[in-house]
Parts: sequence; C-alpha cells; structure tokens
Amino acid sequence: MPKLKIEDLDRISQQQKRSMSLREGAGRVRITVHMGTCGISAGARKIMAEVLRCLEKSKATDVVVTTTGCAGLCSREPMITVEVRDQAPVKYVDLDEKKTSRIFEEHVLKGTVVKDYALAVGSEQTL
Amino acid sequence: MLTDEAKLNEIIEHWKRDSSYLIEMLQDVQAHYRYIPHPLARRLAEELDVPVNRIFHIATFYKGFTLEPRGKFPIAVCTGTACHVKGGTRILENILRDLGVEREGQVSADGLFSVESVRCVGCCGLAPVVTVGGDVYGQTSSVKISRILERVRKAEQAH
Amino acid sequence: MSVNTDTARPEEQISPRVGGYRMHLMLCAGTACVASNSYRIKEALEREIKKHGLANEIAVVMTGCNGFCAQGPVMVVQPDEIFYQHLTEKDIPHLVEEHMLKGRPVPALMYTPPAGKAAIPKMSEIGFFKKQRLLALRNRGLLDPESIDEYIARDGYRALAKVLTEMTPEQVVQEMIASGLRGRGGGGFPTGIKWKTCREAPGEPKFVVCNADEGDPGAYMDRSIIEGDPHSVLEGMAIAAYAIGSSRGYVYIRHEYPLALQRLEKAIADARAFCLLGKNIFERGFDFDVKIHRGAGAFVCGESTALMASMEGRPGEPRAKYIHTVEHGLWDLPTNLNNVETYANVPPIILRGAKWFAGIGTGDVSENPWGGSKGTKVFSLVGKVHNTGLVEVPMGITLREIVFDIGGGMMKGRKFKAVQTGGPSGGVIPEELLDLPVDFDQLTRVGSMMGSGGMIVMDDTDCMVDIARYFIDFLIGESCGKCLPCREGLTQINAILNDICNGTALEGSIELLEELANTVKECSLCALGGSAPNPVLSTLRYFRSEYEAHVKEKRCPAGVCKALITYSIDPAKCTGCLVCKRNCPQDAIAGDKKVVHTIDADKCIKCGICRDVCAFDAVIVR
Repeated sequence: MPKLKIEDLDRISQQQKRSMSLREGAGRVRITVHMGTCGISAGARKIMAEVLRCLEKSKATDVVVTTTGCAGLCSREPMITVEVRDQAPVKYVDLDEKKTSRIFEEHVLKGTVVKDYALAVGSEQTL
Repeated sequence: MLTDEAKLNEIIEHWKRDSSYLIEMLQDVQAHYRYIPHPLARRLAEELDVPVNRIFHIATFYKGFTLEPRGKFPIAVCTGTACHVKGGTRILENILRDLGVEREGQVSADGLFSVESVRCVGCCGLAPVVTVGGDVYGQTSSVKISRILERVRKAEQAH
Repeated sequence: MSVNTDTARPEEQISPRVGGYRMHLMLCAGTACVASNSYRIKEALEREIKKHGLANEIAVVMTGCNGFCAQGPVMVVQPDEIFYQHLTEKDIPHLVEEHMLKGRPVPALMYTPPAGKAAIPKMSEIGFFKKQRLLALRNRGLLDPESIDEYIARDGYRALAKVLTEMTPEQVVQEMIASGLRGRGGGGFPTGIKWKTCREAPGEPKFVVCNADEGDPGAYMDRSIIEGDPHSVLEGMAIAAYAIGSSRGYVYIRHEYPLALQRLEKAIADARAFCLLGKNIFERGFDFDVKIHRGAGAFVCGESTALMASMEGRPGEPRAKYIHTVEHGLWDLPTNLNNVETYANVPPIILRGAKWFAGIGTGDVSENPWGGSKGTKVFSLVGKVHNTGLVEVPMGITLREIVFDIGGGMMKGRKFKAVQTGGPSGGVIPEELLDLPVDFDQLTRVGSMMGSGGMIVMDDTDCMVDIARYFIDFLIGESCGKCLPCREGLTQINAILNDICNGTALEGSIELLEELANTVKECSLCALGGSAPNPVLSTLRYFRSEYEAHVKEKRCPAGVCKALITYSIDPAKCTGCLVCKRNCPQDAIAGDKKVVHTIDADKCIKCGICRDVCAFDAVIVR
C-alpha cells in the first residue's frame, strides 16, 4: 500500500459513496419495482436486474431502488414506478429490459418522462 | 501442561523480556492456564529479574487474575449497577447454591464450574447478564441459568 | 472471559464493497447483539438472500452498536430506515421473502412503543432515537467498523488532514479551548486547557493516552464507540498528538472487552497500512503511532496516576495529585490522558469548527472554559426503564426527557424513584429533580456527577440503603489500600450499612455514618477515595426516611433487605399453577393444582425465584 495522500481521501470517499449513500436517506430518484407474485411471474426479476445494471453503469449515487408488492394492475406487469424528488411518481407498464434501460437513461438520469411506456402520472389516493 | 516452560518462554519472548509488560505477560499466562500457577509466577520473576512479591502483588491487585484454577466452564455473574438492580446479586447467590460451593472461585465437585462476580461486562442494556464459559446470556434469570448449567452437565456426561 | 465470536464468525471479509446493491441490511454486531446471536442471524439472512437469488442486490453489513441493546439483535434496512428488533433465526425466511423480495415490511418484527398499539417502522420515528443527537456516535450503525474505507467515506481522517495542512498546533489547541469540550471520562476538565498545559510542559518525548478502561459498573459507552467506530478515536488521538507535540500514543483498554480490542487492533493495522499512523503522515513530517495496553481489571486505574502506574507494569496505585500527569505522567514525562468519548468528539470539532460545537449545550465558554457544558454526552440508559441502551443527547436536556421520552418510561408501570449517575463516585437524583437540565455543573450541584455516563434508573422496589451498600462494597474491593481513610473508612462505612440492612443498627448509626462519610471524603489521597462516600451522602440527602425506617422500624420499605422482609403469596392473585412450587429450591411452597399456594417462612431462604417465575404477580414481598 503506497502512502496515502490527502487527495486519496477524496478518491476513497468517491469509491465508497455509491454504496454508502444508500444508508443516508432517500436519494434524488426512487425506482420501485413491483414484485408481487404476478410481477415476479411476469418477469420483474429481469427488470430489477436491468435497473441495477443501468445503475452500476451510470455510477449514479443518488438513485434508490426498492421493491414493493403488487400494484393491483396484474395484467400490465412488469411495472416500475419512478419518482423524482418533488415530482409526481410515474408508473411504467408492460416493461422489458430494453424499455427499462431507456426509462433509466431518459427519466432517471435526465428527468424526461418516457411517455411511450407511461401508464399514468401520480398515484391513487391513499389515507 | 501445568509447568509448560516452553509456553512461558514464548510469552516472555513475545513481550521482548520487557518487565514493563509484566501485566500483559500475566494476562497471557492467565488466558492459557485460566489461572496463574505458582511455579510459573516464580519462573517469571527469575526470568525477568524482578522480585517474586511484585508478581504476586500484581496478581492479587488486579481482578483479572486468579491464583487458583477455575472450573472448565467459568461462570461470571455481572454485578454491575444495572445488573444489581435487576437481581444480579440474587442470581449469584442462587448459582453458588446450585453448584454446592461455599464461595466465589471455588470449583464445583464435578470440576465443571466455578462462579465469580464481575463488575460490568458492558452489556448493561441486557441486564441481568451472566456468562458461562465465555458465552454471554442477557436478560437472564436464576431459573434460566440453572437450565443452561444442566445442559452443559448433560453434554459433558455424554462425552 | 470472552465473547464467543470464533465459532459463529467466518474469516472472510464481510461483504464485497462494490456498488450496485439496492438494499443494505445494517445488522448490529455490538457485544449485546452478538450475545443475542446476531452472527447467526447474519448467516440466516445470507442463506435466504441467496435462496431468492438476491445476493447481487442486497448486502448484509455488520455495524457497531446501534444503542438499542435491549431489543437485540436489531437491524436497520436501508435506504428506508426500517427498524427490526428481537430477530430470531426462524423469522428470517419470512422477512426476506416479504420485505427484501416483495418490498413489504413486516410490522410484527418492528418496535411497538409501551403505550402504543401500532408498530413504528422508521428508526428515526421511534422515541428512543428521536431525541438523540449524534456527535461522538455520528457513524453509529452507518458503517462497518472494520472498514477504514467506509470511515474515510464518512469524512474520516479529514480533520487530521486539515490540522496537518491548515493549522498550527497552537491553533488546534485554541480551537479546542474555544469549543468548550470538557473531559467525557467524568472529571469534566476542559480538554483544550489540558492539551495546552501538556504542550507547554518541559520534557520529551510526550505521550498521548486514551483511557478505555471503562470501569464504572453500569456504563459501556466507550466499549460501544471502540466497537462501532474505532477510527474516530485514533483520529482524535492523532490530532491531540499533533497539538501537543507527541508521536507516541497508547490505548489502555479493559481486557473484559474482547470484541472492542479486536476491532481496535484491526483499525490500527488498517491505519498503518494507509500510513495514517506511522512516519510522515500525509507527507507533512508528522509521526504518530498507537500501541494497545490491556488493563487487567481495576476500577482505580481510571484514576490517571494509577492508570499510568499500571501501564508501567506496576500495580495501579495512585499517587498524590499535586504533581500533574500532564507534566509528570507516564515514565515521569508529560502525558495527555483523555477518555474514548472525548477523542471521538475531536474530529467533528476540527471539521465543523469550535463555534458550531459551542452552539450546542449549556452556559457560555467564551470567557471561561468551565463556564458551561458544550456538545453532547453519551449515556448508558439502563435499569428499570422500558427502552434500555446507549443514547447520545445534547447537554442541557432534562432527566425527564431522557427517562420518559427516550427511555419510554418505567418498566411494568412501576413508580420512578431515582436515577443514579456518575457510577460509584456519583449519587442518586430523586423524582423532584427530574426537570434538572443534565450538564456537568448541575449534576455536581445536586450531589451527583456526570461521571462517564452511566444512568441507572430505579423504581420503588429498589432500596436506597442497599444501593449505597452496593457501591461501598464495590469500592472496598477496588480501593488500592494505600491510604487509610479510604481503606479503613470504607470498611467501617460498610459495617454500619450492613447493620442497617440487617436491622441490627443502633440509634445514632445514621449520624455516625454521615460523620464517617464526610471524613473519608475530606481525607483520602485520590479521587476514588474522595468521591467514594458520595453514594452514601446522596442517598442520605434525598432518602433519609428510608434509612430511618430500617433503623427505627426495622423495615425495608422497598422490600429488598433480606433480613427485614418476608415472602408470601397473595391468595387473590394465585391461580394454583404450581410453577413456583416446582422451582422453589427449598421445597418451601405448599399447595396443589388450582389450590392457592402458601410459603413456609421457616424454610424460605428469600432467594426470589418464586417471584421471578410467577406469571400472575402473586408473590408479595414485605
């Protein structure tokens, strides 16, 4: 191990940041993959893998990926919801890996909603 | 293994024969033999050229040392303040009775256990705490410990 | 004695630290949670995660002590901060499937407040965590204590870089003085002043020593800091060394803390590998290295001169205090001794500035370093409160907030009686002072002290005479025996207390006790003896009537002192379940199934087992 210089602190921080930022709160964008039984059987696992692959490739540190249960629209699975901070969440339906990658590129990274795959903007009202 | 001089030499050499590490050496002896055997204390004094009474002064001053052998599974009952208010001292009395021994440090007739009180294991959030053979049991009670001891006895008999 | 981690713990590195995980399971690996089997939980989690093919998505990270020890093993799921408690191996398959795979958190494994009905999912919304402010514990539960990279990612070693590049040693000392940081080991001496004196003391080399010989029974904050964030202590020590002009550091650590020792050793090795310890750190011509000294178990070694005697390989006997250790310490050379928590506070003060730190807490330190208590204090909140564990709160918070808001109130709905602070050198604080703001000076004013931060909450079943006797008995065992007032005085105090507890004390015993206690306080050589009578004096101050009940009425109102109590069974509550009868070691309990039991007072040895096992609260102690 060569002697650590002050600049190296930044380098190590940066390397760790992506993994550590997960522990520090919500992030700028939150991607939720719907993983109910229906979602999984429709291929949600592949979508999840693709989301994680895109995330890894982009080296983004402010994106949080979570799962949730069935969204109640089983016929349109697999689905994801993309929620940019302070904006209404967008639900995407009938996904495959290619579509997922495009959503990641355009909506998650650049902030433009991909209208072609979007089901709706906003969520149903809850309590 | 009682007067395993090779082991003692290894310990002395590890601390580079520096008598300011006497406490560390005694800790290694204690860790290996589970007590400080008299012959080894004398050998240590000779090797380091320090008076033997200094060794015994240290060995009796610090609570981490004992001059008599302990049981195969030493039991430590925490009697730190948090454990005291949650009945640690009562647990100690009940274990002494359970083992049929008169005092702390005495080995039970089957050679398996000895019990002593320690001041704070540092798990106060789990009080009362008892350790048996190094395993920590938190939020425990006299009845639970008595079951644990019974389990150890059975396992030893089965051997 | 050791925490048995060898068998449960595979040698491999915890988890590969590449990015790409979507979820981190922060599982507590503090001593308490390890005792509650957290390493088995880890294995079960990894097994289930693998089974569901989630190994590339979810990482299990072992962290230092989370603080909420009574609920262990505890785990926080990030990024959503979902808090799970009391995990057992059999919960894990369901938990992983529901939460980790399908994203549905499991309320049954969450915390439910004592009075509440609904489980609270988020850690920050649980009362225990909500009022805390983390400075010394800033990395608690957020990093793997065995990873120096993670420490660096949380601004680790940046304060050291800052002092080496931007500050002169004098500026560092000034910054510490301005911050108002006072020693967290109990004395409350201003840290900056100590550093200044040591810096100016003649003699070379100088030493920087960290006191991790946490001897106070009922306190474990230092163990937790070393286990959870060992680099913060090393960084604080390195900054102290730079300020003082030292290149040699020692950590004096209790041998009863095997896990802390192991993590500290790893941290030192990693810091050396990165040249954050060693020669020419950050190529600024500053050398500093740290060695570990294991303590052998002696409370008196918390006293600075005794600690240094012990480090020199001698019995830990204190010497007269007019020769200060900052000038004549280890091997008679200038030595700066601070406690673990004090050092852990140093890096954030350097990074964020003295002003920021002095903005937290009580009083004003701009003119006088003793003028207030700044920053936060870590307490081990234990005893008869609902939520026991480790808490860090801003100075000036009231005892009521700590006991009732953070602690969640008294266990089993019992009545609050007192809180004991300051360990064996401290005292008890009664209910009428619950609104007291907690800081160094307020606690001293009411006859207790800050101490290292033990806070033991007691209810109406705790006898104050017994508590006093407990501490005196502890101190007799720990008194080094060098000076007479402490050695003989404590023995005599103990004899009187025993008489009181046994109901054999004569009229006038209380006055005699008081006189003797004051004599020991005045005449002892070191701080141990000088403060040893505090538990007696403070219980007398607030609970004198309880002493009088023992002496005059031969009665122990709290039902603790064996000679003065009897056990009986409440026929109205007893269901005749036979449990107490079966567990009684003396066959002193009579009764049949569904027939009310009775205790034979002649056979009863008052061991208390019947009360422990009774599910109906039917055993009465009077």
